Formats: sequence, C-alpha cells, structure tokens
Amino acid sequence: MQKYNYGKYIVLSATLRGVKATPVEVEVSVFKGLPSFTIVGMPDSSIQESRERIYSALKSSDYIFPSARIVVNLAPGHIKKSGSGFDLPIAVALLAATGQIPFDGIEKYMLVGELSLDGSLRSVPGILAFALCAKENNCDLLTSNCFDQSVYVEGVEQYYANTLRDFYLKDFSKIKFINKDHSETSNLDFCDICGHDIAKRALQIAACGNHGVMMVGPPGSGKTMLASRLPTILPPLTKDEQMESAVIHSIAGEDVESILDGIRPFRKPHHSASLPGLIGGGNPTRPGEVSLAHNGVLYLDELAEFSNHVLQGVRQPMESGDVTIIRADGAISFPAKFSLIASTNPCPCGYFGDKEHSCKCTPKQISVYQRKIGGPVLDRIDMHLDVSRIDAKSVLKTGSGLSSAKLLEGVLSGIEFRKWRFNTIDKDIADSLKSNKGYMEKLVESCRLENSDFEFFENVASDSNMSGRGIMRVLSVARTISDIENSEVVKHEHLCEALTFRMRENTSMYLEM
Amino acid sequence: MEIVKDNNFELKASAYIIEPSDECFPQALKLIPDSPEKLYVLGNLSALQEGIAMVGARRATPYGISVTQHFASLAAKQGLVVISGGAEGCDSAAHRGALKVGGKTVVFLGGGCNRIYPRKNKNLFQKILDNEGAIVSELPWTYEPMRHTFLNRNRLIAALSKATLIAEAGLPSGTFSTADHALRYNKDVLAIPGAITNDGSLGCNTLIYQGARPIINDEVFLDYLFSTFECSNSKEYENTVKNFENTKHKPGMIKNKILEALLSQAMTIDELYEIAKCEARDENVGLWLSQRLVEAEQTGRIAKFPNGMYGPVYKNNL
Repeated sequence: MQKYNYGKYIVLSATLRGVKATPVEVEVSVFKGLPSFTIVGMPDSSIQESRERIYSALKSSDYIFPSARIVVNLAPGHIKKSGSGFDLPIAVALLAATGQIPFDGIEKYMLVGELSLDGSLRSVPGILAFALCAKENNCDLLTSNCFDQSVYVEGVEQYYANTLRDFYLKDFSKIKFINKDHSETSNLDFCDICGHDIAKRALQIAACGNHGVMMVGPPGSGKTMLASRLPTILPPLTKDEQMESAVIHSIAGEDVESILDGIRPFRKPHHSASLPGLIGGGNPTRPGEVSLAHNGVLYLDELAEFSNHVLQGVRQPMESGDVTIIRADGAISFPAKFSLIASTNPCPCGYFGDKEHSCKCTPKQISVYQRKIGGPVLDRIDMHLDVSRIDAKSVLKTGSGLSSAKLLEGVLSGIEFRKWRFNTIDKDIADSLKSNKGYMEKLVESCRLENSDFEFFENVASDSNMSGRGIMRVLSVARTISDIENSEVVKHEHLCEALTFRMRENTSMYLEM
Repeated sequence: MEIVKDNNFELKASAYIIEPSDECFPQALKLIPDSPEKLYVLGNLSALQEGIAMVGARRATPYGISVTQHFASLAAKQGLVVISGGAEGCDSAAHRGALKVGGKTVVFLGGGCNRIYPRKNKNLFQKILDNEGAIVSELPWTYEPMRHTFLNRNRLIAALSKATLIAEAGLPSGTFSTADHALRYNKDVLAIPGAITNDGSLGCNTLIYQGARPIINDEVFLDYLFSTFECSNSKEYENTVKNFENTKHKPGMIKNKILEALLSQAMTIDELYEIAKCEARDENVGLWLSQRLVEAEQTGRIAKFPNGMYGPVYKNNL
C-alpha cells in the first residue's frame, strides 16, 4: 500500500463574480484525526458536492484518498464561491499536501476545472475570464482540454491536462489556438427581402447610430426577417469590444467563436423570458440576454407579449449601459450596452391597418394593446417604423431588393465620418457622450442647423406636441442620417427623414376611438 | 316631474324623471308614435330642445372623427344643440366638437344614466353636464345596456333632432338604424361623403346615393342649418362663411404629389414609397418622400392614423 504524509499545501484558483474572475487561494490541510473532509470559506452546494467527485476521481486515478482529517479553506473567506471549477485545485492541493505528487511546478499555475468520477477533467464556463484573471496575477492557466472555449489572450500561457494522473509527471501541453477558417459566413442577406426599402433604410440608420427601432406591422409582414438580417449590416467588433463580449459569452457558456470573428451578437429571447433570464441572475449569477447582447443587438419580437415587469427591467440597462444585480452578498454588475430592436403587431389579432384582412378587435382592445406597447420602454426607442405586408407576387421576386453589402457600405461610411467628426469639429460632443453631461446642448450644436431649418423644426415640434425627449430623438437620428450622407450640416431633407421615423405624440385624439 | 334629490350617482348633476304630461317634456318626443313613457334626465332640462343629431361608426377612421368634430363645432357655434349617443368614435367626437366651442350637447344613453357606458367616457359625460348639457335615457337609472336597448335609443336621437348627420359609417352599420328612424319620422338625413376606396365611408356614400343630402363643405352645411333652423346668429354665420372662404383650398393648387395622393385615400408608407419611386427621378427616393410627407403633415390635412397609415383628416379651425 502506498503511503501518504500529513501536511499542507496552497494552490491558486479563481471564482467568477460578474464578468470578472476573482483569485481564490485553495488551502488544504491534512492531519491526524477522525477521517473527515470539510470545505470552509463560503462554498456553495456545487463545491460541497465536489467532495464526492474528488474522492472517486482520486480512487480511480490510483491515488490514495487519505483516511485522515482534511480541511479545505477557500480564501479570502468573505467572498461566496461557486462553481465546479474548484474540483481540480482542491484535488491537486490534496495530492500535494499528502506528498503523492511533487510540490514543484504547481505554484505557477492557476487551476480551474471540474473532475469526472474517473479522474478526467471537464471544462467549466468562463475560461476566458479565468485566463484574464491569470494574466492579472502573472501566472499561467491550467484547465481541461477545451479548445472550443479557449480564447487566445496575450501575455498568458494556457495549458491543459487530460486526467488527474497527468499531475504526477506534470507534463502539461499548451492549448493550441487554431485559427479556424470562418469563410462560411451567415447566408442571410437583405436582398432576400424584396420591397421594404424604407424599413431597410431605417435599419441602416439604426445600425450606424445605435438607435433603437420599433417595428409595427401585421403578421407575415417580414418584421422578423428584417430584424434577423440586421447583423449583416452591423460594423465589425473592435478588438476591445470583442474581448468584452467574449468574456460575457464565455461565462454564460455560450459559443464565442463568432464574436472573435468580429460578428456582433444578436440575441432574440422568446417573449416568455423571465426577468432573471433577460437581465441576469440566478445562482451562480449568470449574465442575462441584455448582457449577452452587449455591443450588439437585442431583438424583442412580439414586444406586447412580454410580461410588463420583464420589460420594465430592460429600461434601466438601456439608459445606463449596464445592469446591476443586487444580492445579499453584494452587487454584481454586467455590461449591457445594446441597441434594442422590437417588433409587435398593431392589435391583438394583428390585422389592424392591413389592406386585405379586416381587423376583428374592438376599439377598446386596440387601445389597450397599443397602450401596453406604448409604455416607458417605447419612450426610449428612437425610431418607429410601420411595416406592411407585401403582396404574394412581389414576395417571389427575391434577390432584387437592396443588398446587405450596399447597406453596410453606408453604415461604415457613416461611422467613419462620425469618427472624423468627433476627432475634429465635434471634440466636445464626444467628451460629453462619455461623461453624459450636457449632451443635449452639444447635440443641438453639432447639428449645425440653418436658421430656416431650425424654425421649421420648431414649428413641427410644436405642431405635433413633441416632448423634449422626442425632439432630441429626432435630432440624434437626423445627425446619424447626415453622417451617412457625409454631411457636416444636418440638412433639411435629413431632418425630414428623421421626422418620418418619429413616434407620434399627437395621435391621442385619434386614439380615442 | 320628479326631482331625484340626494342622488349619489357617479356623474354629478341634478337628476329628474319627466313624463309626457310635464311641460318640460320635449315636444318632439311627444309627437312620435313610439313616444317614451318616462325620461330619466341628468343635467340641464332646457338642453332638451330640437337640435342636430350627429352619429357615426364607433370604429371610425381619423377622417371620420375629425370631420364629425369639425361639423359639431360648426353647428354648436350657431347655437344648436348637438345630439348623439355618447358611444366611442364619431359619437364622442360630436360631443367633443360641441364642447370645444362651449356648446350644449345631449347624450342619449342605451342603458340607465347611472350605468355609464362606455366607461372611458365618464370624464367626457361629466364635462357635458358641467357645460349645461344633458344625459338622457328612457330606462331606469341603473338599467343594464343591451343590444336592443341601443337600437331603441337610436329612435330618440332621431326624434329629438330636426336633422341627422351621418358622419361616417361602413356597411353594415348600426348607424343606419338612426337614419331609418329619422326617415320614419320625416326628418332630414345628411351624410358626409368619403372616398369610394374607403370601406369606412361605404355606408355614407350609399345613403347619399339613396337620397341623403351630401355635406361637402362648410358652406353647404351652414346653408342647410340656416334654412332649417333659421339660425338667429346671422352675423356669426357670415363671419364663418367669410373665414371659410379665406381658408378654402383651391383645387389644382397643390404642388405636393404626396399630399395629393393622401387626400384621396389613406396609404401605408410602403405604398407611398412606390409612388415616390416613380416621381423622384434622380433624387434619393427616401429623402424625396420624407420631405414631402413632412410638408403634407404640416398643412394639417394629413395625419398618421393609429393603424400606421397616413391619410386625410379635416382641419378644425374653430
């Protein structure tokens, strides 16, 4: 029978908290006494369960599970730890403490991994966050063999082990980051949709200026088709944005490949989504759809079917760009800067305003429905758009419409122009955008409206009882339009186009139907 | 006549129960064959005088609502009582139009007067009462409104008025029963025509075909009021006509193709885009269209409807 010693050993691991991994020291002490296995330091139930996994994994890897008093301490003690990633560090520290594997060479790793009962290693979500944490702590990351989830991070070496047995020889291989060929891009294209040129134009403006869009139309009018093609005209993610989004996806256990290719995330949660599902929550805290849509698009189809309190939850992140989940043990914050695309039917049956089907709803039903979708969320959407059904004949003429490539051209040139504007003539607006201070004045300034246009806009605003927020929305959309047209000045026609996308605030009289 | 004292009805006003033997019982309602046995009245009894009825579809288009409101204001300005049914859509617009110029208006309810229907008109009804109007029913205070009671109620609207204006009605429409009653009682029926493409105006156009008097503009309407009611307020009449002459849109003067197209019928933005495609020639179609659309809206003759379409509305200058 093999021997083991009594002793003590510390290895480094980490736990996820929000979008960051926090380093945790795993301290294992084995000493004489009644056989027991205790884990202290605010572990959650998945860590408590790791005792059984470790016991079994050690046995099947031909190590000895010491029949002694074992105490595991996860330090610092005031943070709650969660996740099965502690299996590996606890097992390794236990082996090192009992002298079953050599000490040296372990201290330079941060260990994260789950054990299966036969001693092999499994991957855990959030590898990217752990890699970033390892980088901060100047050590290497050692996990399971998870090529699909690992992301190359500069300045940190990432190794993998296949089973617990590998630790005896400490012969770990580096994770190979294969540059996969992603030539097969999405085969969606805006030219699949014929007609709807106005809607396409609206989405182009939205893509360029990160404006929220609300689409209203009867069933079968192509709202979902339009929205699902939006990612094809979004500008590619920058390197920093890629990292931000990839970390969130990694923590949620989602595929990060497309993000590392620079494709912006496009999330479309079903309307039965719960509040924690949408804004994040659960235990361990998982990012919600708004965070997964960070730097991308959140598409809420059938907006009116979402329950009201869920929609209210989306409001705060829309304004602040992040979402904070308050728990008894502290607040966790996830980034959530997304553009909202929503679509809905105009009434419960869907055919209000349709030329062919007559609507069967009562006026009361319609006004209740419209009021429901006209709530505070709508107040934060810049562009409103009516989509109507196109007749069957023209549906078949697919491929003839405006294509994604053409639209993307406009988006990119608009973004390029805005960048130039922010760097030269509108430096102060870029600053106020960051600090959120005095943004409104600066926006009006940056529009450089001619006097006649200013007067004209004032007239329209007062005629249609636009609110202050409504006025700013129109201006910011107009500013984006002139960016696309590469114009320093917001011209009359830009203003007009922005006005056609505004939300009607003077229809109350007609709504009294 | 019985005055209901200390009533704690939802609408705050004095309440009366009157019978044909009472002096204040409107003469016009005594003369019809199916005269009501009792009238339950809230508000001002003297408002129960011969006036002009304005009724129309509940599910009216903004066009219907805006013209009803406009003509109700016009009639109320001549000192006439506007009579309607207090329902959603055109009926409410008629009452609002009268209130807008401080006129009196009478609501005939299909249920009891303390059984407000539709609920959301409670504030409107209270405003009517505050403006010396009246809310009337032939059914006891808390009587539940039912399908047949509305049809019976329509006869009272027709009977109390000298003329009935059908503002907007589709086919088939309950509004027709009011028109039928009016014809039965030998009263005039007026109707506002609409585009033949508009389903909502089908009923009105049919009535005109059958002989109803078409109201095609303010002048025609005022002429009719003057001859039928002998409006004493002739100075007001002249002013209104003069005012109207000044604001009249002269045909052929419209330069805006989009405005022109929308004045004839309501259209979706995609249909407008198709028009713009043919007209814009070398310009950017979207920009061309939006400029003209905003310009058209600024005239006040076009509005975006709650169903998302753009279409004609009648600008109320009163």
